[in-house]
Amino acid sequence: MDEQILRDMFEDNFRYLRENAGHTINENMKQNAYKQVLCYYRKNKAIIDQITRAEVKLSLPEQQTPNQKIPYTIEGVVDIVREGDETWLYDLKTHDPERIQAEPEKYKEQLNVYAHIWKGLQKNELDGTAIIATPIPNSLKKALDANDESKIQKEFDKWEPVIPFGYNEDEVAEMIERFGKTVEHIENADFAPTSVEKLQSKMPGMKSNFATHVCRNCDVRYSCSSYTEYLKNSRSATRSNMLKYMGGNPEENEEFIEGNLNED
Amino acid sequence: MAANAIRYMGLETLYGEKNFKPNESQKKAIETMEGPLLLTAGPGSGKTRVLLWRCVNLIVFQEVPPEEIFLATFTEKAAHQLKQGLQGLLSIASTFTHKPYDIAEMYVGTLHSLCQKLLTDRRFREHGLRSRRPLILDDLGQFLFVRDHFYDLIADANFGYDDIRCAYSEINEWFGTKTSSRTTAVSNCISFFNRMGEEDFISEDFIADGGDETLARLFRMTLRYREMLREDGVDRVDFSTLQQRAYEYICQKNDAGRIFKHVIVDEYQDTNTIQQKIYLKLAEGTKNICVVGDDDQALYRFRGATVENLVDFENICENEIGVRPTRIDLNINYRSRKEIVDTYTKFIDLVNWQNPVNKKQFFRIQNKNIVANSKDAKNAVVVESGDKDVVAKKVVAFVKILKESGKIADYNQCAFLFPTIRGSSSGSMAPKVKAFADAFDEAGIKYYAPRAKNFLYTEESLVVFGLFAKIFNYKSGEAAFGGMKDYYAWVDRALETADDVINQDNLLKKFIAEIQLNIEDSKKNYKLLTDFCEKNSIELQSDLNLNILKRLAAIPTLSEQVRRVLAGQGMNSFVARRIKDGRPLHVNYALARSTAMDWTLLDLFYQLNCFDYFSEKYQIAEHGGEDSGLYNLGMLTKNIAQYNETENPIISGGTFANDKIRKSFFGSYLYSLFRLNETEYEDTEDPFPKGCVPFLTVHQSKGLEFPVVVLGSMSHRSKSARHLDVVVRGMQQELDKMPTVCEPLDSMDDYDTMRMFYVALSRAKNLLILPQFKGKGQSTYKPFKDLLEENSFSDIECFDCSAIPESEDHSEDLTHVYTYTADYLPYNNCPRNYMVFHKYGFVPSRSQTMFFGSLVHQTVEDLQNYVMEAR
Repeated sequence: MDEQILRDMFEDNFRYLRENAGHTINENMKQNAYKQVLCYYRKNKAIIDQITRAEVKLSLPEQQTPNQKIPYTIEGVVDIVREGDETWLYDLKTHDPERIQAEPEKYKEQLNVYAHIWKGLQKNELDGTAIIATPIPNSLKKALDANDESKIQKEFDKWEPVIPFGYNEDEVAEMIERFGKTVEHIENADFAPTSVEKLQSKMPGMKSNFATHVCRNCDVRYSCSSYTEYLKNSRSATRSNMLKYMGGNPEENEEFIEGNLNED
Repeated sequence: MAANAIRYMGLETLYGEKNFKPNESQKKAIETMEGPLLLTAGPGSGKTRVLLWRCVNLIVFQEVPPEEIFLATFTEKAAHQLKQGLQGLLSIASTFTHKPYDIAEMYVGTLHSLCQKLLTDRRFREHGLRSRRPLILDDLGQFLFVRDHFYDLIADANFGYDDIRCAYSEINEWFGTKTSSRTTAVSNCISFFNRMGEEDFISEDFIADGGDETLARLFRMTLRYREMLREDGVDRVDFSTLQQRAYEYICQKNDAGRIFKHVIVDEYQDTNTIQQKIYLKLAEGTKNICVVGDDDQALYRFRGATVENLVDFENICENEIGVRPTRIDLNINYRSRKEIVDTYTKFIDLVNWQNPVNKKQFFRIQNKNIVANSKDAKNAVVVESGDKDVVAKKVVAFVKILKESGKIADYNQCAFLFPTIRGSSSGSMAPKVKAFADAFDEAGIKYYAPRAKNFLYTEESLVVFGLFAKIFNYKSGEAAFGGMKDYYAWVDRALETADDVINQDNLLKKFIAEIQLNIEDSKKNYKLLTDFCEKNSIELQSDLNLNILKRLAAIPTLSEQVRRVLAGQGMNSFVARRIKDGRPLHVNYALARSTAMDWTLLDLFYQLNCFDYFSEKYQIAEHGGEDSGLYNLGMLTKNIAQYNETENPIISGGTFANDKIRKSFFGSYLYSLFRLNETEYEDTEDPFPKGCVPFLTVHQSKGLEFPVVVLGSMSHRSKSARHLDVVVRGMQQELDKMPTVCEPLDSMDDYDTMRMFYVALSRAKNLLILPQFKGKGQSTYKPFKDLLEENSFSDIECFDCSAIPESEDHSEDLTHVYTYTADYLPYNNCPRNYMVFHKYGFVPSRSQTMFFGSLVHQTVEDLQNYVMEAR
């Protein structure tokens, strides 16, 4: 395939998203996004060219929550890939591979349930499950930024976007129970914010804590009791000067303005 | 034979599993697979069930791949219910057949959503044609688009006036309204554009003006409008051009009539011309089209629907695809007690449905023989006549008794239905609605009337927009009339409401003062910059270079913050890069960027939410309490985000210097929103909160049923046919496109009114209450007069309540669907964030990361599809 076609697809999607979202990302972010897609294509060319792939919606109907027996259905969309004699179940993620490696359980349980529906209930073939992480690893990003040809090639070869996971039927029941509990909370309108303790704790595999990584990007932090409490505890914020501490990241704001400001 | 027998048994087995005992016609409707089918479906005749089982039969026993089934519903809610039900039945079937059934690729939805799907469906793609997803304009989007281009549209149509308001008057007069209001003219033109699309009139058809000059101008405007939709590199469609586009798209494919093995259309009485064309095209090859509907329940002529499509379907189908359909009548009503069914079947025959010219032809499907399944012969209809306020009180007292005696389990089981709920002036209720509302207030019973008021009159809207008006110093004006007067009255209300909130919250008062200071600062700096440019002869539209940046940054009295942006690395490297790329920025850009606010209107909304008035609402909802406030706040984020879509979201010194917020946000966007909300929309799906008596328009009640129904009005003032209907009829005649069955223009109003009341009457399960208002200014619609004369209905006092069966509280809750990525993970990340964005649909202010993620994800998806397809 001509890489120009990829560029066209990318531009088409960019245009569509921009028109629909009413705002956009700046030139830099856009280039990074394209870089990611292009690297993904170059890296996975061989696989992409060989596979027969289908997006499949998996559904687990007639479930009941553990305590209140509220009926519900689990649904998910995965890629089923047939490569030679093998059948694999893939889930495409735009999360950083570092994040996936830091919390493999979170991804594994999800794949387990999908595999359970595909293989256990529907009696289809399955040889393995995997996450495909589209983002470029930090080391490759650095090499690209430094424009160091040999380093780029080395990092490019090292890059493993396909992260295989096993499939363990034994863990499924437990997982579905956890899922059911969550459904119960949602159905019971149990929406208290994440606890202050969790806000203070480090994100798995990262240096920043939950409040900085998650809350600071959340639009409803201004009206959130946990975030307010967190700011009171960790900064010298008080009720009257709270808004000062709630502001966003100035760098991101700069990016936002650059991306969205009319140029005329 | 043998194979058939096995199949047949299979379906029977499944019926048994679900304890479903179809009657003979239901069975026939489920099991007839070949050729076209016309299902007439009376009220409560189990239509949805039949559709479900028909699909099960197709997928499980006829082994039709789900992606080859096309099922159009009237609402997304109906589609959702069907999908859920089907999923459930198929999973049971799976346990017998050991086969997986995946209906993800099945076409189920409103025609609008299915058209979007068709436009990117690879099966319809002919070589060389690559279809792009168009940008869909919803009603407000279309309104804003037309309004923004209205001047050009008028200019291109050669009205020939010096004063453009004369053109508005001419348009409005053509539609029968005497006003020179621009907003009214815009709305009128939109209804014209849409109707032309719904009738699938194309460029060549716009000659049939019959010498009407205004019509000729409207034709020109329609053509120009269609061109404009595709201008400046954006491919837009509104809901009616979307259908035309989809029709064109499928027509270019050879054998488009064989891609779907079965086409099923629900609520066929409410389809319009272009929709019928799409359905018949898709079924042209296989001939397997099944249409379901009830001509007596047609409600949407005002949106271009043509009930004749259903009434004459047997002939239309024979002419278009060459086979006459089998007609099956689903005539047994399982919903209502016998007297109710008898009443509405008698009612509908109280006008003459025979074609006066061709006596063999009728404007209603004949011999449907609607009967009740219930053998309960006791009274189920109550009529109470007298003075309006007295009757209203009596009815309310009766409703209270019904609740206390357990005949209804909750007040939301008793619906009050009205032809219209809004009053003639903004924010008011129609007098009959008001009479019942007052009686309920007096009795201390809550009622819920979501359509009674303009959404902008909800408390949350008043507070939010009132606070915005305070912050940006927007005030109502004087010497206004008509729509503008209503709007200014609303602005005053909003300002008052905001004042009440501010007076109770000193921190909020302080915050507003700070923001205003912030704005003043930006204005001041912007002025310093423009003054400097003027003095030094730097054109604002001239190319920006690093030297100019440096000079601007050196202006002595500039705020430190502005200077920092001008001298900062971000700005300088961006400017340098653009020069290097040969696309230099303008000086204006530096002025705007350096004086830009670090908040958008939507950010401002979220910041305001930190004050008590708002945060209390969140906290109540976080613990499962009253949540109508959050629904409303969520709606407001959609409105503000929509404004950001049409205008640039970044606010800077230039925004204030040009008075943009006042002109564009308040004067234009909010005003349009206000005016559009003044009409009663029919499409939104409102919840029926517990403990409240719902007040609904008949249109809203379509497809629903209630244990008790009160028809709030039996009067009707006759109208002549709408001018647009007259014109379309004329065009059809001139272009030789007349349908074979056409209701006479002077009968339309009567027929439409009869059907509307028929829908209302047939919503009742156990009890139907008909209040009749007498006295000065009150009148009863003639057929109702006849009905009451010919039957002896009980009044409230004599009515034997013990005969009413107790209503089971089977709030048949839909099984909810949950996913990992959209529910489980976000909820466990933060339940509150999940509540706000997933349950109440708030629009996030800056979804940069999401934008990035979707862009990559979508492109990778496209890439894989492309590679697979190429092989």
